[in-house]
Amino acid sequence: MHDPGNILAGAGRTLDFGQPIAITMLGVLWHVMDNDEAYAIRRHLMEVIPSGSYLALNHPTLEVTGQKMATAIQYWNQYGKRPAPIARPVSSPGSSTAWT
Amino acid sequence: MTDVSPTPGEPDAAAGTGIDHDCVPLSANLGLLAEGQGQLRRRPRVGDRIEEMLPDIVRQGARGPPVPRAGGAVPGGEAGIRQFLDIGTGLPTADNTHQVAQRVAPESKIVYVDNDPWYWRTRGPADQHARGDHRLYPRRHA
Repeated sequence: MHDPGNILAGAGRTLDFGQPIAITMLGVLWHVMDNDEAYAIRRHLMEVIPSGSYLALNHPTLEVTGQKMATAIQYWNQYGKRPAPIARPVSSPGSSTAWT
Repeated sequence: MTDVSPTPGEPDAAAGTGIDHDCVPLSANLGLLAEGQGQLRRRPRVGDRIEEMLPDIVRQGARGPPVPRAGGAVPGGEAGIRQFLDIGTGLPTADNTHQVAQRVAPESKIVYVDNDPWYWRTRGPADQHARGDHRLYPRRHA
């Protein structure tokens, strides 16, 4: 994931990047600790896939369960792998979701 | 809240996987609550603790992942997409991307990407009928 170019190169042996592609990154992008890198990964992928493609992301949030999720993430970062930040979605120009 | 620390990780020598059951991705922990659970000797203790903390969310996940279904069915059905790139696939679950996508359109191609050994220990048998490609990117996270 930290090397989207490598992923795209591998996927290009099977997929036709001239036709729409649906990319899913479900519960993975949040493990990128640096927001700028997360944006760069997403931007890289979106630049390569053609118009009509989809990108689906999901991400833990404090918006629903609040402190319970924060506590779970803190526990996870203490005992699990790999670490992830506690994040809140906010509006951002040019994107549906951003992380703070 | 009582702090329940997991037992320090030890390789699953009995199963011969060499996998540390306490050091797995969160997605794997949650994914094990779905059909993938039967793939492994036991569920990670960290996952048990997360389930105690967030029972509703974990139970919802165990009923099947709504987002993967949407990821396959909506683009595959309404939008006519036949190509899927699943980055960070995770363990096999109730409705894997290739199953959803190829239910809509059997010719759909799926590339799975995951860098975790758990995936490659458990994924193969579940996906043996999948068309497309399974690629390993063994680079570990920094």
